[in-house]
Amino acid sequence: MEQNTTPKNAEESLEALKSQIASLQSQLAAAKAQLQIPIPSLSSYTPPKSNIFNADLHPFIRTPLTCIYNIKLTQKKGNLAPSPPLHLWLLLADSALPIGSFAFSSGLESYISHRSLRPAISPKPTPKTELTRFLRLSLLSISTTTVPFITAAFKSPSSVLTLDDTFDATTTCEVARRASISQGRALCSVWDKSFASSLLKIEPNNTEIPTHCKPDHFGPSWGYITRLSGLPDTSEALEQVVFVFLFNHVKALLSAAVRLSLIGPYVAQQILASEEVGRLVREAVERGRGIGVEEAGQSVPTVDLWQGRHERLYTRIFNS
Amino acid sequence: MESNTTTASTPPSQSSIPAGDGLIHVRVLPPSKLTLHRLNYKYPLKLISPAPSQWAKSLTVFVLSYGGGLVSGDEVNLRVVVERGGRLCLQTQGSTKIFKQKTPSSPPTIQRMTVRIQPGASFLLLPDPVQPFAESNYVQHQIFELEDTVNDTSSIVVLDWVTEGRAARDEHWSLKRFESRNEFFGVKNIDAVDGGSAGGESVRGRLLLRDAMILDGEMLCGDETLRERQDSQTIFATAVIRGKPFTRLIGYIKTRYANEPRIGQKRWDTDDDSRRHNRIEVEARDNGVLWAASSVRGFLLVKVSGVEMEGVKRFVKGLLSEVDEDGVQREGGCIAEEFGTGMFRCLE
Repeated sequence: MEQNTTPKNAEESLEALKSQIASLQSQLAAAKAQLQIPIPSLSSYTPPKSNIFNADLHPFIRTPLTCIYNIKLTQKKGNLAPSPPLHLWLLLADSALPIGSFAFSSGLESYISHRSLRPAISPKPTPKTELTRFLRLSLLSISTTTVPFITAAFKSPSSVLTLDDTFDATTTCEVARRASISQGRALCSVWDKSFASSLLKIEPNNTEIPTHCKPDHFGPSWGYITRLSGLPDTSEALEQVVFVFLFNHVKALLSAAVRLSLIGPYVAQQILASEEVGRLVREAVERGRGIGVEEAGQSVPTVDLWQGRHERLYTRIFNS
Repeated sequence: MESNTTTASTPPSQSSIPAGDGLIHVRVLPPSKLTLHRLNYKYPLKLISPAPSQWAKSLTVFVLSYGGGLVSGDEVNLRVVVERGGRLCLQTQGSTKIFKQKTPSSPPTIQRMTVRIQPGASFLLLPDPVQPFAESNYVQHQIFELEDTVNDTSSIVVLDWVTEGRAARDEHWSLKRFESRNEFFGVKNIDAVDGGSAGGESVRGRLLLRDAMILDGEMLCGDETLRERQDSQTIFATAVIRGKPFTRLIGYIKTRYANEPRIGQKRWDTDDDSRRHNRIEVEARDNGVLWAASSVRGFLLVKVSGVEMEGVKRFVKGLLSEVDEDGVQREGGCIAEEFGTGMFRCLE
């Protein structure tokens, strides 16, 4: 996620940020003014009361989430989409979010252990190149299997349970199923016990969006709870929903890689900050949200095999 | 009409059905005579049913395409019904070759199959692999409707596999796009009064399992091509098994998977503390066969991949025929018991 490389871009981006900030502030003011009036629909998202949207916030924090949208937002001056709910993203992208993602390597551990069974390539891959290759394959795979369901659950939260059941039928790898269910249920219970009291923005008697569903799988519950938190059904919001999910996935893989001693923590952060990872994640977002749930499928069949064979490892530190 | 079935089939006029359509309807006449109630098809699809011997446990139908392959724009739509007590095995004669898409705007090659399996009926699908040539664009969609999922008497064994193309012409996953979907549905009765008679009162119910694979040759991942992404695997196979008659087969495969040599830091074949590995396991490993089995929502799903075709064939055959530790086929394996012998032609 580089900020900007050329001065011209930097200027443009600065302009964009300034205008964004100005408009966010006016929105905030408007929202505060409205605070006593019940909010009729989703489209008028109320930002959290804290001044987290304040322009003085550390600039880095907004970088990963908003840099992609700068261009779009400047094009739309005056008709600005609801502000990025930074508060929600900071909560959901927190590595301390108790959903146990650290216990899963999404097949990385198995992939590395099968190293000797894969064809020899010259020059011999380094642990770092092995990791980045797996990262690419994993993002490709997840973009055609899970992302369509995140998208669908976000767009039609009322059918989240059907979607969850379909996802359950579609995820045929036993190890991947366990990983997805464990994180999905954990996410729902964090939502229930910790977030819902302050983040739930849907009226309990809303007939279109039920607020008490408990999907099992990670992808569908991610799409569902982000929608419950009041994000509007817009393309920009959906992009963020999927972006944060995939970025979390990359973080989990990198954290697993550090614990597998493939790379050190500095290299992990270097990869996470790299332009390439940013691009891969954005590509995966774009690819995945264009796929309907009926068209979803495994695009990297070897990933299912590596991950399925995780149980056959002699020693293992991860659950997937 | 051309079929040499011995049964009294009542096909509608062949000319009335659309190109590429076909229908196979298996019915059991009292006391227990298996018949092809209907068998019809139209170019480019061809169905051949060898006359069953008197003591045959199942009917076999060969699904063929004229000229041994399908070109772009070909669309095959096969419907299959296996009534109560019926046993049907579908096979092919040689791999299904998918020729290149004529122009980028030509329609893809499509094969659809919908199979309805009534209670107490069994269906076996053991075709040769699909072989997508360079620049081919193929969509395969197979739907299996299981009427009895409570007692699991609507039974199936389905094999679906794909190879890299014509290796001799240096085609290694040079296809444009390949999509294969296998969907398994339950069935719900609209009219509950007439619980499951042969009529059409029941419709497709809940999705039980979906196995979908999409290979996109035009997509780059980083700078890796599809061929590079496949990690030198030249063949991918998926087998899905469900049903009472195959309980032992499912148990056998699970046990074999549980006994797979462990992968780890130590050399797996000299591991002192793991058990001695037997011949079939060593052979599979030496042939570059990788596999995984999972039990999902009442099904057993097996994924196999390998660096060469023969190794995978031998492995899959061994698995389905329940070979013992020395690679000898089990007398009376589940599939032989249910369908009779000679079912493994495509795995020879």
